[in-house]
Formats: sequence, C-alpha cells, structure tokens
Amino acid sequence: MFETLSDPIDVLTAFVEGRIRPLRFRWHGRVVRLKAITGEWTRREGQTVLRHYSVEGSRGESFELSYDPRSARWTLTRAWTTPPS
Amino acid sequence: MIPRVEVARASATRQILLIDMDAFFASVEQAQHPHLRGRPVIVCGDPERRGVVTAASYEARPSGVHAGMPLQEARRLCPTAHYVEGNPQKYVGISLQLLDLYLEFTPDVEPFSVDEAFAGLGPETTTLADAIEVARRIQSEIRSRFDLSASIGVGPNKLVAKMASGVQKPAGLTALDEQGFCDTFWRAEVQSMWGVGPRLAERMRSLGIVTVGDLAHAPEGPLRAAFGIIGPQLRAAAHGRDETPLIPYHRAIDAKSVGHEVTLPEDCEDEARLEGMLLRLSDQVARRMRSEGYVGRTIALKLRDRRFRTLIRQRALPRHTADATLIFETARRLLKSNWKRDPLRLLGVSVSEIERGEDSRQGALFGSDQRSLRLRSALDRLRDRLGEASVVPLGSLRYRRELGHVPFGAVSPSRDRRPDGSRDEDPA
Repeated sequence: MFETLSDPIDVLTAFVEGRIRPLRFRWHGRVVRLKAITGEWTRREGQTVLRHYSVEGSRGESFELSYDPRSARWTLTRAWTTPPS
Repeated sequence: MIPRVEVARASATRQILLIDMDAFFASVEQAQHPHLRGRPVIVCGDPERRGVVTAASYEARPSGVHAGMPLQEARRLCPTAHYVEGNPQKYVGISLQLLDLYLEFTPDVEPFSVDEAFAGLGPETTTLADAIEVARRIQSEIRSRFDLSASIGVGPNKLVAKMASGVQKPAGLTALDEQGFCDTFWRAEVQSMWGVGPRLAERMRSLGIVTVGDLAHAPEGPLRAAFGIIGPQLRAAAHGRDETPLIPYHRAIDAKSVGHEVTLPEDCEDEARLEGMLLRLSDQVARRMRSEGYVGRTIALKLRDRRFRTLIRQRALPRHTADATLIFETARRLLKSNWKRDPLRLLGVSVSEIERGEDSRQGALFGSDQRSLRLRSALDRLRDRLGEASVVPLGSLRYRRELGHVPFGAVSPSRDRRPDGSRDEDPA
C-alpha cells in the first residue's frame, strides 16, 4: 500500500534542456537511485507552481516527489516500498 | 495495444473526435507506478476510511467493481485489488497536458470532462478516412508520451462522436456517419442515447419507445406532447443529428453551479459535527466562486443517509452572493428544517443560478459590512499567495481529522502529518 508522506528530502538533480530531472535522493539514511521518471505534473499552491514527479527506484519501489521552486526544496509525498508480490 | 477500427460509410462533412481516456485515473496510477501494471487497481478516497470507488482499472472490472460503488462492497468483490488514494491534482495536471497534445492537431478542442475532450478537425479533414488517420496519430502520441490509452469516436457532430467513442473500449477507434450511427444504435436500448437517463428512458418505455430505432420512428406529435420542445430534438438525435456547437478550449465556458460534497468517514448524527462540515464545504464553495468570478443565488443542501436515500433541498436568496457565511447560514437553516436526525453518510453544498460578477452586497453601506468585505478580500489575497491551507474557518478545524476525503474538492490542498502520526484533512 502507498504511504502518504510529507518528508523533506535532499535530491541530486540534473537540469536537462530546461527541465528538472531528479536522479537520486536520500531517505531514512539510504540513497535511493532512480531508474525512471514515470510521470510529471504541476500543481498551483497560491502563487507557487509545484512540480510533481512519479519515479521508479532501482529496486522497483515507487515514489512521488514534489519540488517547490520558490524554496528550492524537495518533498517526498508518497512511497511504495513493498516489493511486488 | 493496436486500436481496433470500425468504419461505417464515407462522409464529406466536418469531422469531430471525442477522445475518451480509458479508465483514466486507474490507468494514470498504473502508468506511473510499474508495480500496479496488469493488476486490478481501484482508485478511491483514503483507503483506510469509508468512501466510494472513484475509478476501477480494466483488470478490476470483471469482478463487478465500478465507479460509485461503496468501497466496502468493492473490497468484498475484489479483495486482491490495489486500493490507491486518488490524487485529483495529478489527474487534472495530466488532463491539461493531454489538452495541449490535442491542440497540436487542431485549435478546436473542447474539454468535456477531466478524461474526455472533443476535437473539431479543420476543413481540410472532411472525410472519415482523414479523421481516422488523425485519431490514430492522437492515440499513438497518447501512448508514447503518457503510456495511456484512449478510445476515440469520430463523427459529423458531437452526439455521433460521443456515442461512437463507447462502441469499442479500451483503445477503440470507431468512425460513424449518420447512417452508420443508425445502423449501429437503432437496435440498442433507448437509454444508451447520450443524454437519456433512467427516468427519461422509463417515460419513453411507457410510450412504447424501447430502442433508439423506436425513438427515431416515433411520431412527432406524441413526442412533443410528452417531452415538450426536447421531444423533436430527441427524435433528431436518434437519427444521429446534432447541432450542438463545439466550444473551443480557449473560450471560457460559464459554469451552471459550483458545489462540493463529502462522504463522511462514518455515519454521523452529531449536529455540531455536521455543521462544522457544512462550514468547511460552504467555505470551499464560496472561495471557488470568488476565485472564478462567480456569484450565485440559490443555495442547495444535499443529504444522503445510510440507506443511500438522497435528499436535496434548496433556498433562493434575495441577491447574488459569494459569501461563505451567507451560504453556510442558508445551508444550516436547510439542515435544521429538513434533517430528520437520521445518521448521514454524505453531506453536500452547492450554489446555482450563478453568474459572472462581484459580491455587491447591497447592504455594504454599513461599516461592519464594509469591514467584513475588506477582511474577506485580504484573506483571499493571502490564500492566493500562500495557498488554500493558509487560512481556514475555525469552526471547520475542529473536525478536520475526522473528515473524509473530498475527491476534486479542494482548490489547492496540502496535507501534513502530525508528530503523533495523525494526518490533517485537506483544509481548503
């Protein structure tokens, strides 16, 4: 089951052709390497347009991250870390 | 998946597409989360609370699960499904990206819902064959960019396109002209007509109109006598004729009403708690109206009890408003005068008879009214800047943790976890 979170995280990020690409992030003391970005969307919160990403970890985990460009901070908003049965 | 194509006859008129995303919410979750692919997925509110199914993937549907079904029943029918909390902002975000994709093919794009849109093809695309080619390219782009599938209906008008889109799903492509429409639908039940609901169908059956073909051949006189001016329109629709204009995306479409409703986490008969929820719903409705520049006159309260009996009562105000307090007080009076103290499972507030305009509040000659208008304006500016969660009515805070999920309810919710592990409901 997905866990809904609001965890501030540090994310190693690439800027590619004007787009932000999360590459890996640190969570609960471990580094999660990202295998793929599986979705992107934006959400307006007041004057801020938050960027959201769904990503797949190298161990098959699923996560959703959001990036606040005003504070340049990343948040982990959803996680599925149970290996698929 | 390779789209299946059904073509019925040629045409030389303007062509319209209805692009319908297949099991949209569930498919978005499957596309974005690989572990869900090929598995039954049910999108809902908070899976830990009571609520209803928002969307079911194609893998879940053979179990009998469908949108609107109580979660409890869905769990009984499909216990192995993955129950995923829906994310309305995500689906709206993807929907806007899809509209941008359609705009690459034609400027005439009309969103019909979060997962459906009409696209009018230009004068150079006059034949069904041309339109089918465009539809195929759109399906291909949707697949490659979003890993999603769409079923597309093609026709000379919105009615035919809409009904054709449902002929082959998922990933279907059905093109019909008016004659093709008749060949395809005349044997179908009249309720399969776009715009004919269960009650209208029942009235038609009482007149001996059972199929779409029966409606197409019904004499105009009795139809007009039974259904008024829409009688002949229904008959024309049964021939696949429709003159509803396509209203492009970039032109504003005025809403007819604004409303929010919430399924309660458990049946509730506590009046104070219900009023707290009403305050929150009224605040959401009023805030949305103001942010979109609407004022409205008729306030409606919707109640649903544990036996799914729904009661809607409304009251017209002497003037248009977008004031949360006025909406709340009206809804509260409706609750007091109509609620029989039965435990409720759903509560909703809506405002209709809406129009573009400012909340004039004619009584604003008085200082207190002017002060409250200035205060409201300041709070709106604060929310515009910092988000909906920055200011919420105190009366609705009291029950925040107990409130259920409101699909598509909040303007811009944020959700935080408390130190004790509990979680705030979207406090818009």
